[in-house]
Amino acid sequence: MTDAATTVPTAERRRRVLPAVASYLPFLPAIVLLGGFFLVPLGIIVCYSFWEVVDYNVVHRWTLDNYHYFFSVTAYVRTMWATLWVSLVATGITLGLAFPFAYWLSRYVPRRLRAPLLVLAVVPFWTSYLLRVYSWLTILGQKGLLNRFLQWTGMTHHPIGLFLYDRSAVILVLIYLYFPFAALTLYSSIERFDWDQLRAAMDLGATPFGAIRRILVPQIRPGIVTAVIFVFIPILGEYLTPQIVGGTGGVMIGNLVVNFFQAAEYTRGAAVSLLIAIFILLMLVLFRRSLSTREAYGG
Amino acid sequence: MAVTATPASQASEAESGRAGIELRGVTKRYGGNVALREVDLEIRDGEFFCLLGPSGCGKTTTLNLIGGFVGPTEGTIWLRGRRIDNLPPHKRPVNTVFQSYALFPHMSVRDNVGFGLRMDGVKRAEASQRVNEALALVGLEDYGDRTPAQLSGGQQQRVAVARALVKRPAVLLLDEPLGALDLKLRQRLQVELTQIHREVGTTFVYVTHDQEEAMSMADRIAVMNLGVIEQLGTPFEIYRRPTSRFVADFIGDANFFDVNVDGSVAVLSDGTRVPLEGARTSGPATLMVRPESLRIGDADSAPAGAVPGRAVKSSFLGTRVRVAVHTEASVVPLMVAMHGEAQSSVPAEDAEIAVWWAPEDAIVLDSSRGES
Amino acid sequence: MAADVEILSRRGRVTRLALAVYGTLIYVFLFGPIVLLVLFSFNANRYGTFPVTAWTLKWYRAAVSDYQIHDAVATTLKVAGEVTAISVVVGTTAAFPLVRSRLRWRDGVRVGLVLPIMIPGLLIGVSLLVLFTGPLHWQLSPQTAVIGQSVYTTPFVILLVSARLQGFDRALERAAADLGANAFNRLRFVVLPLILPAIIAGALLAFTLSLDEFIITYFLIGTDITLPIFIYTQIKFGITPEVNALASMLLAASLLVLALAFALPQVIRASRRAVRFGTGRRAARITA
Repeated sequence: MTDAATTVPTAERRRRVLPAVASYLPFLPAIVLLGGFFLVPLGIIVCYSFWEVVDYNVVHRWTLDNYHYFFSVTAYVRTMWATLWVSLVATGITLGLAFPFAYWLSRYVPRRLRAPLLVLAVVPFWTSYLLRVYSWLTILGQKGLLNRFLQWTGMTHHPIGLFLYDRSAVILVLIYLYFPFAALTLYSSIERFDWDQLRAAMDLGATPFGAIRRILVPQIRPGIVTAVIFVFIPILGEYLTPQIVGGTGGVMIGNLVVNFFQAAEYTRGAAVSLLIAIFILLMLVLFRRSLSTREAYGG
Repeated sequence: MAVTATPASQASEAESGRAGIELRGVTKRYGGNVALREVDLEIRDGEFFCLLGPSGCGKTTTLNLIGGFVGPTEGTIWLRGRRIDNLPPHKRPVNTVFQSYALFPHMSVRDNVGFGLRMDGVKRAEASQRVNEALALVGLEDYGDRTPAQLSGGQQQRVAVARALVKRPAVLLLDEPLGALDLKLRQRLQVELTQIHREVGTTFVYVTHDQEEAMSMADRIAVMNLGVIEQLGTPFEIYRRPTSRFVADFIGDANFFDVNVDGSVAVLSDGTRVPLEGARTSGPATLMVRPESLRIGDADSAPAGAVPGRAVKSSFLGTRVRVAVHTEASVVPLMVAMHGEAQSSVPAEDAEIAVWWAPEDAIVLDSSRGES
Repeated sequence: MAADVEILSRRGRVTRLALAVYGTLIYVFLFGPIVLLVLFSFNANRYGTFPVTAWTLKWYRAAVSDYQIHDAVATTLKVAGEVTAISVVVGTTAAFPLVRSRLRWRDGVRVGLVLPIMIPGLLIGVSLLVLFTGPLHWQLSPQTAVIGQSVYTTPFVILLVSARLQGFDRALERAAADLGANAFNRLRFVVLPLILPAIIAGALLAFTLSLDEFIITYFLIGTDITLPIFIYTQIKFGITPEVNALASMLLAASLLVLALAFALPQVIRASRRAVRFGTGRRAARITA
């Protein structure tokens, strides 16, 4: 009995330490996969962007040349600003379109139809991304369906600029691509809203729009922020859409990255990649702040 | 009934007085919080034992320690003379009925009940036989093919009991098993559980915060508070002879007086001297009298040692009338319960009256312990 | 909300109608291009004149008999299968400690694990390209593409499975332990059956994502081609009805897998229920 009593501490310690280690063990494959093939390569990209190329070989010498080069070419800088502009506009319009849709779905559609209609709106998001971009190829352009249809009906005699392969087409397709995601995110936060609050606000004299703006929107702000983040970020790194429907005027920063890497200019490509990553990081930092202010307001 | 055979026979083999479960100096700490403080406890083989107390008193921790879901920080746990605190739950001859029942939603009732036997590698035919018996024991013979979701709360509860008993455990632990049910059903299942206990003869350790439930079912009750056992005894002992103010207050209704004990007399704060049964050590103490032990009458016809007071409010509660009496001897109004014929003499509101009691009905409590 | 509709004013009814029209237009916007794509895959005229004058299946025949497409399909399926296997194993195992261990930086770890979803695929692709061709000196092949795609699909499995685990009642495992089940049996008989729907959904999702993935594969697969890459290279030469046909088939395939992802967990549940009901009714008859 004394034996048993003295072994207790060791047994006890083993009982605590072993499961603790064992409980982290299942992380191992994920650490290998996501650490080794996600974080490490990102780190390497960071290094590459500060290294230089001598005789087609990457030399581990620290330099800012890659960045200097990027900012010295006006076309690149203009593309960068254009990319930010396209991301901003496309995100704004996507959310602007998705909000009334989510509002309609959660407030005016009968309960039993809501889930199927929501699924219907989200399904395109999970089908092929490439094909959804491709589907616009026949629709847009000078000889595209839209312009030909409009001319056929006699509504216009010249192709409409909005539907040519250009930046406007890129924005249109991006809205098309990300609408389902924005609608889903907004819907899931609006769905939880207690509509009696709107009625109370209107009872107290608010107009319907005033009530939506002052009562509904502040409460679903986390959902709005999430939607903004997850629409804006992927658009920053967009390659296919401008490549397929952008023509010559719709080039975005992602196309520059691909061009550099295809030309085996790895260090310059790495620098541009890092610029995209920095913009993303900035977005996430902004996102964090908006989260903390939400808490500060006592959510 | 085969389900009942093993534990019952084992219980009878056990020498009388040998502990079924024994906790020796068990302390359980969670970080800096002490959930259980040096508890010594003996639960006899075959008894229906209740751990009773408010939430956070340590009763569920005690149950989890016996079940093996947590280990003691200090101390040892013994089952029929064998040390079990270093065994994992699946190696202890102890089974549990969980508060949420924890029935496996993806298995039929039959598979739920048979799960433990399957884990033990019991042969299919025997397992099937035992599952049938266990289901019959709880009156669910015809429900074996349903899933838990298709059963009512009461039926789920019974499945949980059958699932735990089919393994013929040395001890059955029940963690507030009736907590989720409505009052009527709870009362019916209380009766059923005591019947099942009588049939199988297994030790039941039953955790509850409901004192009525504990009183109506248990052979013995341990009243717990703040990680210690305040009092252990039969329902009668705990009700009639509480040893602390906490126990007196937690079990049933009680009136308390701050008194000064002077030999065989207690002096109330209004100066009334009431006789006590037997002599006590002198000094400040708390005097407890149950509402049904109080008598009410005209101030002039009252015996010596009666407390003068004024009736504040009487409430008719079906089987009794409760009268609230304001006195100088106590800050809160005294509660007097009047049963049967006494109800014909309920005092009018604001009537000047006197309250008294028989000396043997007054319990002197050490005022230093169990203040709440 | 039904009561809400009853008491709407005239202006409310107008709003309601306007929003319904708006909602309908949104669905036209969402499905119009896809429908047109499918429609034109049946258009007999190679140059896609409008309006369509004759229908044909010849583009489908052409697509189905194209040996290049056969190779692409084979590569795509092989890659998708491997990606699914890796994602499910890695994602499911990672979900357990994420939900259950006493992690100090649980939120940080969670963000870290799902970061690949938030980062554009382009960055995953180029950074892995640099890693493979630079420091590691690996030959690009379908296997390197599998690794790249898994980085992107695994987080989805982690999210799905950990959400399911989050809602898992730990009392069930304690009950199983109480009834004599050791750790392995608890996992096998209680935990895995109950989180299986999430694992299946994760597998199907990983499979669809892999089928359609373009940019990561584009950088990492070397000389082999998958269907999206084949389509992309074809697009460069202009729109052809064969590609429309191929695209329609690919679309149908991914819709099918998606439908499975939605339906299968429910089918599993329903089949269990059916077993219950059948036998339940039998039990009822016996009592009667």
